[in-house]
Amino acid sequence: MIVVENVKKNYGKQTVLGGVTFELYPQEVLALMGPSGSGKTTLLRVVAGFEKPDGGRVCIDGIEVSSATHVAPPHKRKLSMVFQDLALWPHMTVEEHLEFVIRKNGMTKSAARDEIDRILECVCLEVFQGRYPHQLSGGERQRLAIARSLASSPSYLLMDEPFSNLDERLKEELQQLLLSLSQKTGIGTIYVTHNTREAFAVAKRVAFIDQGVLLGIDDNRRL
Amino acid sequence: MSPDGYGHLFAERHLHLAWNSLSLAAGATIFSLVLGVPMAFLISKTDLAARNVIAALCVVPILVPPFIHAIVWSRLQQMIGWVSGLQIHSIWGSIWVLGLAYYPFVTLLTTSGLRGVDRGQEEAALLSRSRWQTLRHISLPLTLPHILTGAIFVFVFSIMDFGVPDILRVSVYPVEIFVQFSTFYDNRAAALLSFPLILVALALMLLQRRLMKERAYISPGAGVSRTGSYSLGMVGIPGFIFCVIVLGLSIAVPVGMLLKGAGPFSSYIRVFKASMEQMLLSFSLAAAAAFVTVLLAFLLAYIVLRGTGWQRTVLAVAVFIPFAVPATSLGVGFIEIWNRPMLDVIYSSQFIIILAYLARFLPFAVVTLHSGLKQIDRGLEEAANLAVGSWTRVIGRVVVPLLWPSVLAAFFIVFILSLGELGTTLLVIPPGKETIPIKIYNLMHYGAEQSVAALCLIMIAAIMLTAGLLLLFWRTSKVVRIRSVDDRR
Repeated sequence: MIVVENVKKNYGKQTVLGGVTFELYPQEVLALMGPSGSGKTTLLRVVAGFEKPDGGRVCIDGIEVSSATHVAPPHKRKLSMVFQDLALWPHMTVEEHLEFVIRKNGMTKSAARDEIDRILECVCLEVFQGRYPHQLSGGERQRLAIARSLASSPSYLLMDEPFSNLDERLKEELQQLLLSLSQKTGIGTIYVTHNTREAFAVAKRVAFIDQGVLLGIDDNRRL
Repeated sequence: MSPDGYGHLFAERHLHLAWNSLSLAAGATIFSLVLGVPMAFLISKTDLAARNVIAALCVVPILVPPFIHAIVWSRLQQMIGWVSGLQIHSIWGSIWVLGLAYYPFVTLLTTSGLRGVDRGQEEAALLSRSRWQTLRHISLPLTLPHILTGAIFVFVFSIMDFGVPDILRVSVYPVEIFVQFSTFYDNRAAALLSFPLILVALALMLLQRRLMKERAYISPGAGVSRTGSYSLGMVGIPGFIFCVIVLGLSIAVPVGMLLKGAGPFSSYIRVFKASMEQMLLSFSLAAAAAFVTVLLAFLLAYIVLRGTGWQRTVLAVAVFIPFAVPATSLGVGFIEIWNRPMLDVIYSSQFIIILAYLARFLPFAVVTLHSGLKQIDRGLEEAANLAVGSWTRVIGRVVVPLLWPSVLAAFFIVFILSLGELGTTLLVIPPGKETIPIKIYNLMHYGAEQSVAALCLIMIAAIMLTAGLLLLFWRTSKVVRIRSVDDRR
C-alpha cells in the first residue's frame, strides 16, 4: 500500500501541495483529478521520489520512502511511471528499452529475451522490436511506454495523463489494454487526469485535488 | 591531377607529413576528450565544490590563442630545461599544447549536451536503475552527438593549426604549405598538400552522418534537465584536484609565465601604446567578420535544416568544405583568386581579411546555429506562420528571439577565432597592415620576448573583457530570462 501523509511542497513562496493525505491499496486503480496547475504532477513526482517533500511523508508497503529529511532513490520504490510526454529513449530500439529495464537484476540474457517477447506480445509490438521511437506511430509509442513501465514488474504504477494527446478511439483502446494488464498483473495504479470521463472509466476510486489541497476522495459510483 | 602530382603526393616526405598531421590531430583530440568529458560531467552532474567557478574558468583557455600556449610552453622548457619529461618541441609537445588549448570545446559542448538531456528520459531510467547506470546508459549516449561534435572540432582545429606546430617545429601539412608558398612560391605544391587534409575532413563528416543516421535527438523537454546531482562523497576530492590541475595547466601556467616574462608595468604601457593601431584593426576586423558570418550562417543553417530537395543535401555538404581546408591553403587560394587587377579594390584592402575569416569560420557558425535551430520546435514556427503569414516576420519575431543564445554564441566563436587567426592572415594581409597575432608572430621572430609576453597578456585581457561584455549581454537577453523562469518550474 502507498500511504501519502500530509505531504507539503513549496516552490519558493508558492505552495504547490498544502498537506495532501490519501492511500492507494494494492491492485487498486485510483484516479487523481484536478485542473491544470492543481499539483497533480508534483504529487506524483513526490511519490516517485523525483521531488523531496517539504513536510509529511510517503510510505510504500510500510517503509518510509520520502520525508523532509530522507528520500529513497526512485529505483528502490518498486514502482514505475508512464510520463505525459512518454520520455522514450531516442537512442534505444523497442527491444533495448525493455532489455534496459528488465536486466537490472542480473537476469540472464535468455530469460530476459523470453520476458521481452512476452511483454511485447501483450502490447502488440512484437513486429516493431527493432525500431527506434521515431519510427513508431503515436499509438505504438504509447504502447512502448506502457510496456516499459510494466517490464520492471512494479508493485505500483504512476500514470501522468498518459493518453492526453490521443484521439478517443485510441485512448479507449489503450485504456482497455492498461486495465486488462493491471488486472492481470495486480499492480496498484495512480492515474492522473483532468478528464472526468477518463477518470471514471479507469478507476474505482477518484480523488480531487485543487490548488494543492485534496478536496475529496471516494468510490466512483457514489461520486 | 597529373600522375606526377600523385607521385609527388605519395612520396616518402608526404607520408611523413600525413603521419605527423594525423597523429597530432588524433592525439590532441584524445587528450582533450580525456580532460574535457570528465570535467563536463563533474561540473554539470555532480555536487563538486566550486563547480560554478570551475565552469566559468573552463572558458578561459579558449580565449587564449593556441600559438600563445605554444610560446609559453616553449619558453617554460627553455627556462627549466624540461617539463615533466616532455620534450615540447615534438609531436607530443604539440599534442600537449593543443589538447590544453582546445579541451574546453569538448567540456562546453558535453556540458551543454548533459544539461540538455530531457528530464523525463533520465527519470524514466531512474525508476529502474541507479543514477550511475542512468548516466552511463541514458545521459551519456544522448550526449554523444555533443561529445562527437566537440571531438571533431578539436580534430579539425588541430589538423589545420599552423601556429602551434610552426612554433614547436613539427612538420605537418599547414606548416609545409606555408613553407612551399612563402619560400618557393609553389602554388601547385601547396594545393597538392591540402588534398589529404580535405579527404580526412570529408571522411570525418561522412562518419558523423553515418553514426547519427538512425538517431533522433530532438526532445520537447530538452534544456530542462533537473534530475539532481550525483553525490561524489570522497571521490569529490580527487575530482576537485583533477579540475584544479587542468585549469592550472591551461590558465595559471600560461598567464603566470607571461606575467613573469612581461616584466614591469611600464612595459605594458609601452607595448600598449605601440600596438594601439593593430589592436583597433584586429578588433574591428573580427567584429565585422563575426557579424557577416553569423548573418550568412543563419541563412545556410536554416536552409540546411528546413529546406527540401537535392539543393539542401548539396548545401549541407558544401557548407562544411571550408572545415577541410588548412588556413595556409586558404591563404594561398585567396591570393590565386583575388590577386587580379580588377579585384584589387578588395585584395589590397582589409576586406580580404574579413572574407578570409568568413571563409575560415563559417562552418563553425553554421554548426552552432544549426544546433540551436534544431532545438526549436518546428510547430512554433508553423503556428506563427499561420498567424502572420510573413516569413520575414516569423523569422524576426519567433525564430531569432528563440535562437538568440545560439546567435550570440556563434558571434562570439567567430569573433574569438578571428581575433587569434594567424595562418591565413599571414598570407593575405595587405602591405602596411598588421593584426595582433601577426605582430606577436613577428616580434617573436625578432626575439623581443618581453614585448611578446606583454602583448599576449594585453590581448588576453582585451578578449576577456569582450567575453565579459558579451556574457553580460547574453544574460540580460529576453530569451535567457524566459528560459530561466521556465527552468525553475
